[in-house]
Amino acid sequence: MTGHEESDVIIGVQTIERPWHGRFQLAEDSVGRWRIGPLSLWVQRLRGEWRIARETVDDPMDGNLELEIPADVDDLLTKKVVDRFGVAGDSGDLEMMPALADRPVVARPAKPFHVPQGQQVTVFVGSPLWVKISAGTPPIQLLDQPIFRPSDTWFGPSTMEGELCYASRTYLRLNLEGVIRRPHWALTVVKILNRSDTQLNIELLKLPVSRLTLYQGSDGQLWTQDVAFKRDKDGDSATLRIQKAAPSFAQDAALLAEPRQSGEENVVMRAFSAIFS
Amino acid sequence: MTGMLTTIKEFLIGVQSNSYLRAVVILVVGFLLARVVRKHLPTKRLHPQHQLVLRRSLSYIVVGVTISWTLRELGVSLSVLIGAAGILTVAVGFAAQTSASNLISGLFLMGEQPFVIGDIIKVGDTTGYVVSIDLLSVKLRTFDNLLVRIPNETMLKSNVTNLTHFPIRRVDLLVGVAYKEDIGKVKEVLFEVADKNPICLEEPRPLFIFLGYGDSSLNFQFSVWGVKDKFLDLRNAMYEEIKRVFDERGIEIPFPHRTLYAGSVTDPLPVRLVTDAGTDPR
Repeated sequence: MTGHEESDVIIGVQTIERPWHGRFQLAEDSVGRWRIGPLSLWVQRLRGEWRIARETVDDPMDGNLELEIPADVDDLLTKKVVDRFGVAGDSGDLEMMPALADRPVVARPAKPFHVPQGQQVTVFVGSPLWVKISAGTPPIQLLDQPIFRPSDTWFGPSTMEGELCYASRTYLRLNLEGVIRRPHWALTVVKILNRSDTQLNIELLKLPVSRLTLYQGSDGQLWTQDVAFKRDKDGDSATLRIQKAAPSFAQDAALLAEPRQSGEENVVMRAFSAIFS
Repeated sequence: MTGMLTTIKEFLIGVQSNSYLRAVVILVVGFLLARVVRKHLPTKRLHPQHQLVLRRSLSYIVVGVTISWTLRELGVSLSVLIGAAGILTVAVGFAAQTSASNLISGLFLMGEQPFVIGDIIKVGDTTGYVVSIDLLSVKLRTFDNLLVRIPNETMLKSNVTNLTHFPIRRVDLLVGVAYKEDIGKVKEVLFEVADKNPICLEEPRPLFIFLGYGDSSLNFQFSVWGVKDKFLDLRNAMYEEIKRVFDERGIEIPFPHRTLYAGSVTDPLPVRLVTDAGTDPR
């Protein structure tokens, strides 16, 4: 884990006072229960085996956050979806880490949104989070699961060419106060600069979240790096720049998770239609 | 005995026998090489279709070179053979018109590439995965695991539908509701079902079409988009969810109705009331 220190102690039942993610210890035969928004997870440690049960409620806006260690074993046994993982060793280390989506996320404004020529605006976009569960020493990844499975969507000029993405259930917001915060969403600050001679009409915006780093602010809010889009003078191409610094709106941001796709360029020149629609 | 040994010795070390031996060695090595090329050529980075074409083309070249080299070693003049082959081609051409047609169609198919190995295609009434594209035929594996061989000539002459060429597909769902239902509400419910299904694409937006007044129902087409690999999952999930939500919201999916009309000039149809016990109350 990077930049995020947690004490390795068995903790009791509590309304959540510590982040739902981080390192935990599970005693043999005990169960831990996490409620992260719409997703409930039960993790049980047995001799040479880990069991993970999960359950999702229908409401993607659910903001509940609960953590219970140890939890009732009977709860896990009644669940339909239970995965079993055989492991060597008898370590009780458990790591729950948030991660960004494995495909780009497409967000839309609530109402038609226009950026006149020469203007720069800052908008906020919410992206769905995944949870990665690893166990043992060294940690071995057991599960990589969306906290709430976002809808698929197609982003491209036609049904013949384009890219499969996830649809963000949040709208583009112009002010931070208007952003609905949920434990299973990360926020991204997007700066849009229109340098062309024509107005930029934004219907959809594609955010390459699989290439973004995840940070945590001191208030517990999860953020990604800032992203800047610049529509070039010719109007047909756009430059996407992923800022190297920590997110500008997060207070005392600490690095939480590296990008899923690393080693790619931070600055990408794309056809205008590959970023905006 | 000594004479026989001498004859064998002469055969082995003689000029003529050397040619025979070399011919045999060339033939064996050539065919082994062709086999290695066909089976073990490292082409894993290429698409399966390109692997197939590359391996076959190279093995045919190796076989061709092997045969001509062998014939040369045996002292057969290739120019004479080619001349004879011309005459033979005419004769064989008449005898094997179908095969030749399939062969040429196969070359066209390989060049045009309307589908590749692994695609799901529909030819006539047959739908299945493309298993191989050979010089004479295309082989399909149907969904019930049968192998269907379709001659290339037929493929070239028929309408071939490639179901997996583009990354996304549209699923057309036919829905009928009772005449008493509000069309606006039905539309709203259908879009809600599509919105909640994660494998139903948000873009392109679903399409709602009113098909008309049916015999027993108002008929609609509701078309949603999904990734090609999840076509069946999406169709089943949508039908299942639409039925569940319609039941939940009290929207009726009607079965065929028949109204009996006796006509204005005829007497009304007689009606008899029957009690639970089955006796006439009169």
